[in-house]
Amino acid sequence: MGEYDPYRLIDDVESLLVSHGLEPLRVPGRGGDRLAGAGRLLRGFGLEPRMAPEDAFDLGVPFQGRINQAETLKD
Amino acid sequence: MKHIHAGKVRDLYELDGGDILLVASDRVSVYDVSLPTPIPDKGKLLNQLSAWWFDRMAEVVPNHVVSTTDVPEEFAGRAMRCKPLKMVQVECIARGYLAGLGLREYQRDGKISGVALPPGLVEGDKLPEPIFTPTTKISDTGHDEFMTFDEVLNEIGEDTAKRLRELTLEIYARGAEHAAAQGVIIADTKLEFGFDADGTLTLGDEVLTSDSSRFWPADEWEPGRPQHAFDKQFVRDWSRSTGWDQTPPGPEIPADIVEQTRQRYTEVYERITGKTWVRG
Repeated sequence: MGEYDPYRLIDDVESLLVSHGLEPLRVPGRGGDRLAGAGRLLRGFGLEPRMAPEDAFDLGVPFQGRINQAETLKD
Repeated sequence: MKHIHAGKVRDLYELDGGDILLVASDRVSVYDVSLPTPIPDKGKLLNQLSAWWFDRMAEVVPNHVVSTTDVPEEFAGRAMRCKPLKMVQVECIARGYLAGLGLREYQRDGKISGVALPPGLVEGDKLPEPIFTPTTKISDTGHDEFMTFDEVLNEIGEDTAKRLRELTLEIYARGAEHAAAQGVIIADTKLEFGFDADGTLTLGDEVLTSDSSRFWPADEWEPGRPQHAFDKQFVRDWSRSTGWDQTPPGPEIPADIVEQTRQRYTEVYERITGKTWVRG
């Protein structure tokens, strides 16, 4: 059984939709839907949704840094 | 040794034989911007604090640490040799206090990740009990998004989801209890899990550092306002005083602020581990 990054699949699908002339929008608040959908699709192909450490670890913005998101994401 | 990722605060290498090397830098970021002036010892302090926690939590869950000493000489003290894991795609966050994105979510919905909270809580309040608030990775939309436990369950399966929740809350509870006794509030923390080559669920990345958690000084805790970060508050306060617009490039940090910040990182390490830090 192989593995694939579900976030990469989301990127792939977005590109595919654009190539078909659609304008996909990553709807805020529906990230869980996208992730769950990508995971189920991969499993349906016999693949496990997994990530490489360099993609999963917060090597750039520390988790603590996201305290700022509360300010930048205000509606 | 192959350099595979350069981050703002940490670098990742692949070692001959397949292990990975996590190297913590002395860079400090404020408002998501990495400042040009390093804080001496910061990388070593956080790396060794994380190693201390990994060792302490080993009775709770296996971890990815292979060695903190068998590392290239140039990274001695600031690097961790680790097993490569196949990472779970969900961020596991435990919250004991109301802050950051959790506060925003609560103010909007009265709940976080689908977990209902009592009304009337204010910024910095202690929650009735720690809660598991998983999120997507930040890479999807540029911001991480809360997931309900049912979404996590659908994503990674019931057994793994329940185990992640159990482990996340257990590690947070143990860590927060220990830190509280030393005058440090761990308001929340983010953990990363993966599967090793044998398929064992394993704790990865870093554990209970001030880069993966919010550390507040207990004697300054006052609900109803933004809390002070234990270690980088000097940098935050100073950066605000400069009039910097919080966009790159960040300003150089003056020597006295560097020294005060270094002392605070050291104090956190010493309080939590009970060890005396010897300056490099």
